[in-house]
Amino acid sequence: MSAYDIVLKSREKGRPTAVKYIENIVEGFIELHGDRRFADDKAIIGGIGRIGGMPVTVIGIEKGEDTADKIAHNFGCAHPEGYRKAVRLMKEAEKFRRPVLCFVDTSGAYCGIGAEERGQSEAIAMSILDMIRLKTPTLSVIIGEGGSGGALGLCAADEVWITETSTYSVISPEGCASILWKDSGRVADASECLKLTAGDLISLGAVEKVVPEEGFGEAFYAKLKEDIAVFFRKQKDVPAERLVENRYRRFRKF
Amino acid sequence: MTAVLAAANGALFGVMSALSYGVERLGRRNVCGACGGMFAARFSFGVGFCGTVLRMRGARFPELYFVCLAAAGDLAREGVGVSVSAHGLCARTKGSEKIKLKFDFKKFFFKKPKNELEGSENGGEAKEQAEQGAIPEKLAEKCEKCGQIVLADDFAAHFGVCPKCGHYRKIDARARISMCFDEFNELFADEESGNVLDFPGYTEKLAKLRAATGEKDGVVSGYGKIGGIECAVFSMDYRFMMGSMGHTVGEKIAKTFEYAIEKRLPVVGFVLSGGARMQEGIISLMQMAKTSAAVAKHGEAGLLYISVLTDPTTGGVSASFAFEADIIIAEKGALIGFAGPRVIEQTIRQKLPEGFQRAEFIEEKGFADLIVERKEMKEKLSELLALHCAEANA
Ligand SMILES: [Zn+2]
Repeated sequence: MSAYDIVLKSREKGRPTAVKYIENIVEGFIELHGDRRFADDKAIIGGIGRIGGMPVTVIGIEKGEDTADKIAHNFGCAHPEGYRKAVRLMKEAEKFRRPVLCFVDTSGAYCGIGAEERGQSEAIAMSILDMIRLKTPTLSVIIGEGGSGGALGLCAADEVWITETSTYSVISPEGCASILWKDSGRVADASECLKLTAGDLISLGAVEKVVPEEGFGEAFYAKLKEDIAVFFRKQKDVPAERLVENRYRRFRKF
Repeated sequence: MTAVLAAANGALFGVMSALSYGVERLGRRNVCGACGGMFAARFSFGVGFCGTVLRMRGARFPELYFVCLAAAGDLAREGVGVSVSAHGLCARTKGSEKIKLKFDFKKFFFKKPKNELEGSENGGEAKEQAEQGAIPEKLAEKCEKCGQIVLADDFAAHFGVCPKCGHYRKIDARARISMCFDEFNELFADEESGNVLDFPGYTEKLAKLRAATGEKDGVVSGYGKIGGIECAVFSMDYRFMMGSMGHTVGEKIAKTFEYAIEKRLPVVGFVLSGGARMQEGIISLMQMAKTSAAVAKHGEAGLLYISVLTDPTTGGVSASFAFEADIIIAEKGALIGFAGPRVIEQTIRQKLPEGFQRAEFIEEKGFADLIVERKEMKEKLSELLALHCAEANA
């Protein structure tokens, strides 16, 4: 599969979105709403549930399934209040030393008047900063598009995993082709050059694990759930200061 | 063209060899042989955007020389420079003895930065000259905003603000530091990185910018004193791909914070960036996390960080260390935001209101602590630093 095929696949209609993962992996999920500042951003959903009996805070960027649902979730493009809600939930998790799991799937944070007025830059910046210093285990799984700063806002974790046909990139290949080459037709070239596929990301050290998709069947979720549970059980034994220091080193190496 | 340039690069520096820079015609426009900038010209001589004096084909007035009007920063715009009406320029310089006499060819051409073509012909010498510094001195410049001609000295005296219309020009990283610091010592000057992803054309682009600016990348780091108070500093440079953040920029900024933690110093950061450097792909994105982690660590050590957001501060840089400071200063008029105005207009399909994402808007919406005029930047920084400095308040 070419890089561009993977780009298309990562955005494919019918691909499971964050809610599907939560349904299949998290037991007894209770959704918690709002940033307590401005609104509840439906592009980022969050709450608490259990994985293998262990309480976990789960945050997901949700694109929506059918058209009406996509509109309700703003196609997975979060506003500042989405990132502020995520930070609020992470801080709550930290207070009780509960692990935080993020499912990331966004073409990018929303670009619009309201988003700018309410400080999109500040919201993402503080989400990265707070997440990277969180005194509790964190894991982010990229399940579709890992689009730029909007994705990084929820990827400042102990480890970042990615499913086989997902991408993680500083800019969309379309944006890259049109800015750099003034030719939006060269999307396939840009996809190649940006090194945004799971294989590239592993070799660059940007992700720790590639999750095989196996057609997103029952076995896929069961395996992913087991891997997440094992990871969090291991991380829970690490002292908080060490977790933060390890995370510092993880990002410092780039 | 290359042969002509190589000749100009030879041992015989002087008016004649300098003049052989020549001008290329591109439709009705003239393209500077040295920097590739375009300009319109009605007379026999024109001047490139980089400050080079050019001779038009079929010169009729070989005794007249015209001085470049545009900032060397136009190099950062990949040669698609703003077109300057040479008519306005000529009207000012034609027959102006004062300007003609002030023009020191020898000094001018020995300090001239080398361009890409020359670099490939004669790498060593070009590199050496680029390292000596420098952007050529210019006598008169044209304000990008009001179009009026301003003597370079006047621009300098007003900290790069147009004395005629108040337009804030971009100033390079070192000029910014020397404007605010009484004392400055550079750190991490050798830090540089290559084309990490083998991105097509990026190696050449880096080489060209390094030669043109004499800088290794888009940020200058170090420590120094403002109003007697010691602090660490980083300053971003618009000439280097509009201050975009790749590995070197991220690394130097992270190291600045780590140095400040070790020496227990506050950090002053002059931010100027269009965002992430896409030629470095995911490595560029990771710089946002790396710098944020360093800012957080510095903050946890109880140390002060002041960011000064200048025009422009957008994209990945705005969504990381720019907005993580204890005190956020927005320079008057600066464009500050997550998405650039054009991207937003394309997304929402409507025109943005006047003043949208400008410093005044950012302050009004509650995301900047204060707006500071450039001429008052040093004083305001030293006051703020003093308020946070234990010794100054003992
Ligand atoms: Zn002006």
